[in-house]
Amino acid sequence: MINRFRQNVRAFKVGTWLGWQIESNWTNPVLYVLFVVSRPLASALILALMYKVIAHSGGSDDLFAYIFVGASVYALVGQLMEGMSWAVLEDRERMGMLKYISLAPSSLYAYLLGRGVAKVLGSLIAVPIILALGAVFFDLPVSWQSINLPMLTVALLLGIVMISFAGLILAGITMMVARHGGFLGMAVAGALFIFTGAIFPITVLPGWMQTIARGLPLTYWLEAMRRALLDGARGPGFESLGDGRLLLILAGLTLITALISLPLEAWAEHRAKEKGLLDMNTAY
Amino acid sequence: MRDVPRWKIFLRAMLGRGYPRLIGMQREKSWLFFDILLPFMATSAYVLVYEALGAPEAFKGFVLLGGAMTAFWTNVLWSMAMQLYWDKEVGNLQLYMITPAPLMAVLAGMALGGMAATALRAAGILVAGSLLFDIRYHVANLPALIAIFLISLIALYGLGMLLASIFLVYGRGAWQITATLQEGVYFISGFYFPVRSLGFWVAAAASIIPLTLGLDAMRQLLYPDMLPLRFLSLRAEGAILSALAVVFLSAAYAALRGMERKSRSDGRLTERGN
Repeated sequence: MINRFRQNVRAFKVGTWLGWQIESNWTNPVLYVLFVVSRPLASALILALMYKVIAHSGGSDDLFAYIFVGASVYALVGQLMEGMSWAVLEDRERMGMLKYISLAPSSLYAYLLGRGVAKVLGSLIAVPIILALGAVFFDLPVSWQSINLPMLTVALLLGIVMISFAGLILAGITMMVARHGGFLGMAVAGALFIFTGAIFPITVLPGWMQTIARGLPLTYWLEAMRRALLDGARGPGFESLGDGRLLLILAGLTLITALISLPLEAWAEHRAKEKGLLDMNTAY
Repeated sequence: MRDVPRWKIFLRAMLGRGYPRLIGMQREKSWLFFDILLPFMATSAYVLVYEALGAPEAFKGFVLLGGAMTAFWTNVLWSMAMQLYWDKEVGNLQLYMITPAPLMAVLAGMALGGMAATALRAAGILVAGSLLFDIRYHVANLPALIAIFLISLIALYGLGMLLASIFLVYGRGAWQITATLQEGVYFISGFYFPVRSLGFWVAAAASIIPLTLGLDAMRQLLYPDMLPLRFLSLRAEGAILSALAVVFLSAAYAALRGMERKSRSDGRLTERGN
């Protein structure tokens, strides 16, 4: 049992190290930081400008903070969701290594988890920089005083764990499908961008979409992150939900995601071996 | 044996490279679905932001037009600028090089095929968004709208050809540069808001990307009542776009020759995985 745990930790570490090398070793550290910041920063700036254009017609500063923080932290979701399914495609088809990793005694699951975490490291550099730029240039009300550090730590950890498990579900599906694996992460991240109200309050959505939004763990994670960063400001649609209950719901939904992810990935790996999919070439 | 005229080789190579672009992209219908769905979802999110902000209806049209034009920008970046890099990776580039077909014809074929195939995706985004969000347009001058659209595309794909020749000498960094350019240009060119709001000098600098002025001009023609939000006059934007088209196509021709020579002398034409 301990041996197995050690093997998993080793596979995770190797996955993280390899993922980090792939992500960052094409350039020098300064250029890499500029690269990881530029994409989410552009998204946040688009929203800031959209807000500024309309601001004179009555948009509130609370809404601006809601939009800007949501866009900034959602970078983590996109990276993890897309990163893991891309890791399967790259390792299987571009590098041709997935079959060898699968042959090794260590866990493929832990390895993929490591690849995903490597993707997040870049975003963890980017998000604070973008929030700081927002505070300096757009009067975003984020400061050391406004941040609830314990809540931020809990929400961030729960979020990374939850998104990682969700990413592994996608990685498992990518392993089994012959077509559209390359689109899967982007499509799911894109759909969740709308359904979780990442850049607008979910109250804008039609009723049936709001129902779906309230069943998604990411909706609660985004709300928790906003509260942790914006001095406890409660988002539209969540005014009556206390912080404790919010984190409890997030923890519960993270557990459910894990309970779906673990057996599904194991089954996907088994099925991929059974059907000879580990060295499939789909030309994604 | 009679020599085939150069113009005939050019034309054949162009049509030959354009054909798979057009047919291949339509053959896999499910790709078409995803190519429309992914930008459509992002565009919808931005429309909902304007709704949450209580913006005038015209802004939803602004966003949708910008969202539709993202299809062309991503096509230019990933399927034009990056194409010679991809071709190098899979070993096609050296095959192009040993044929008598000029690389410029290959790029022109990719541009024409890509333009036509992407137009279908852009139309899909525009139609779906207009129906879903009940967006109306007030076309003031249809011939001018078509002319601006076509000039913008010629200039844009000229830029794509120029980038393709530059990326020929890049290694893996080309991927990252392309990824950075994608989102960055969405912002700097005002895909989702009037570019004028960036300020005159920033908007002027952003005009190097043809879609900046193309979008602004098309918005003027589709929403005449939003004219106070325009960056430059329609006539000025049309003239600058025409100039950009000529400059980018000429620069692409010169750059392609230079980069090809450099890649050959540095031995990078057959290099893979770097």
